[in-house]
Amino acid sequence: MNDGIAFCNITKRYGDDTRAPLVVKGISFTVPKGTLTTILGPSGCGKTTTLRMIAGLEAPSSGQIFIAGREVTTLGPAERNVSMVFQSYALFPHMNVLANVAYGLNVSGTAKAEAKRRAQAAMASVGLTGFDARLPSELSGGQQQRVAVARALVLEPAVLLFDEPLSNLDARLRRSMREEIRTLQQRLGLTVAYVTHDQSEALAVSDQIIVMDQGTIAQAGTPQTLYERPGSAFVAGFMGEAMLFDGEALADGTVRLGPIVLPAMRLQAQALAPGRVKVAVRPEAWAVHPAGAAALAATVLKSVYLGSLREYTFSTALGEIFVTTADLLRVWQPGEAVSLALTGNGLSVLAA
Amino acid sequence: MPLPDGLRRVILGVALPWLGFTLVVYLFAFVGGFVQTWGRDYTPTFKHFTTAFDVQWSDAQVGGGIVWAGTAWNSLFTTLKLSAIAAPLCAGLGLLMAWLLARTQFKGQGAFEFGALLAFAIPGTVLGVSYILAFNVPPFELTGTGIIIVLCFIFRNLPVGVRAGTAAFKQIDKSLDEASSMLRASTATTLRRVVLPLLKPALVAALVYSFVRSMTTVSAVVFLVTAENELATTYIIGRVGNGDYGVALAYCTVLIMLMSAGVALIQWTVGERKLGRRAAVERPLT
Repeated sequence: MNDGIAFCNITKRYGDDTRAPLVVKGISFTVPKGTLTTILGPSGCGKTTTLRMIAGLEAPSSGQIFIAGREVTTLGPAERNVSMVFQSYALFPHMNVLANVAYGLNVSGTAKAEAKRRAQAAMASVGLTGFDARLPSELSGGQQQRVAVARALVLEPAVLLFDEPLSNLDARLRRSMREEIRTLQQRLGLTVAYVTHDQSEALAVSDQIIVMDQGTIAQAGTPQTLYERPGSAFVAGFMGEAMLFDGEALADGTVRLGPIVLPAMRLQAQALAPGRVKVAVRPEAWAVHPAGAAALAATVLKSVYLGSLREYTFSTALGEIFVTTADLLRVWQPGEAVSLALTGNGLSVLAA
Repeated sequence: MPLPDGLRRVILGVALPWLGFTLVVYLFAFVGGFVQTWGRDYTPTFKHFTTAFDVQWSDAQVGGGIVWAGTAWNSLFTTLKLSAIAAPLCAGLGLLMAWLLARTQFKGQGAFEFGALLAFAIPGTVLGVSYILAFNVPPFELTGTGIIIVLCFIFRNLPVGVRAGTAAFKQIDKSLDEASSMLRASTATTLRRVVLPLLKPALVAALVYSFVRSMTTVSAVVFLVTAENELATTYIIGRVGNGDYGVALAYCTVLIMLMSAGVALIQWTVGERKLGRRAAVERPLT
């Protein structure tokens, strides 16, 4: 096996009843050593269960888990050399920051002075020098997050796990914390598994993304692969709100989408058999033109100003289409007749 | 937002007479202990307190020291002793059951919880009689001993401990336990260093409540006491039965003060937990 995390045919059902539905349905994946893998999916897709099985907080119903080349399937959390940052941070409210960070060292019998030195080093690595005597309740959300990371790092685990670590922070802090986590991971060469339901967060931090849907892996790959070449309608829809349209692949390699014909060279999908296909189009893939200038006639239904971009909903022959555009100079009013064209980016063709 | 005027008047109209009534009850109990005979002879006297709680110094020849000469001392000490034995057992057992209910899963959990809380619903007298019947024959010949009273106290007050415990466990996020075990702590270490410190308020509340309730129980123990193990409440009933209201009321005064001290202790210890972020920040940070 490899040196990171490996899952082999893991299934999981809650309870002893063999008729209970499987939450995780036979998944296999690897997280290579020193890389960051995000497990991405909607609520209830089994991503947190998967993470908890890596941690040892849940036992799989069948299959094997390897960490750093060692089988850990039946081992408890303490024996796996794994640390976890919880969604709620799970800081001990009755201990100060130093005691929280040093907790793992203290319970495993490290000498007091040594534990203090290493805890302070871990706190320094997340930028928390001088917070020793504070209680968790006296810290901001971002600071609590750092304490949780320092507490997990101090034991120098083989694998670090994050369970939706940014979901309790505001938007600005979320961006800077996710960069910090990524920087820290790369600086220390950590093996990280990271659960989130936010696709932009996953795109920003990952070496590998595993998209889960209803207990199975829908697709795994680099952020770019998943965004540009989604393998299924689910992944296309989840990664960037793509809309799916019925299209038709022609013998000459072009794809027809209603009145629009997409030339073969524009499409990333190779060697499509002629026949019915699905075309996934991201909201930013559409360009809005005056009526008659492009192939697809449309009427503006809604227009929403979002500062950096504008969201439109159009009524067209293909149904209602949701479009975002960065062109804020030309504003289209509801009721106005326009036409839509595809720019070429953010398009993918899937087998029907 | 101020209450609507009509509603305010209705609420005050209900609450104020009730407050007055309560005060009068306490006042009668208090004053009754200091007069000769309530209803006939209102001469102020300390006679009842002397009868019940007289303390004398014995002569040096007999060994010297305090002699608890009052008739009530015996029952008061027995009550305090048995309640003090029962309270920690009751609180400990209650929290253990709360832990089972809140943090583990097993078959028949619902029935277990129902059973644990049923003791509240069973009338005390039923409990008392059952205890006599159950512990009157070998191998459990406990009738007439202090042990049976302690057992009865524990069983009777267990629901308080269970309730306080489950509420506390629900407030302590389960991820704290998990975080501790992820940090290589054993279950015992987790309990000692994380769970118990956070349960302290619940533990103190369960302790004091069960102590106070044990002190004041009448119905469950009325059949269990003997001359040797007489309790405060049954002693008072005995005095009233003899028409000796003065002594009974004097004893009540003492009990009211003891119980007030107990309740104050609960509020002091549990209230301490309320210090939130603001209060905590004012402490010097080093």
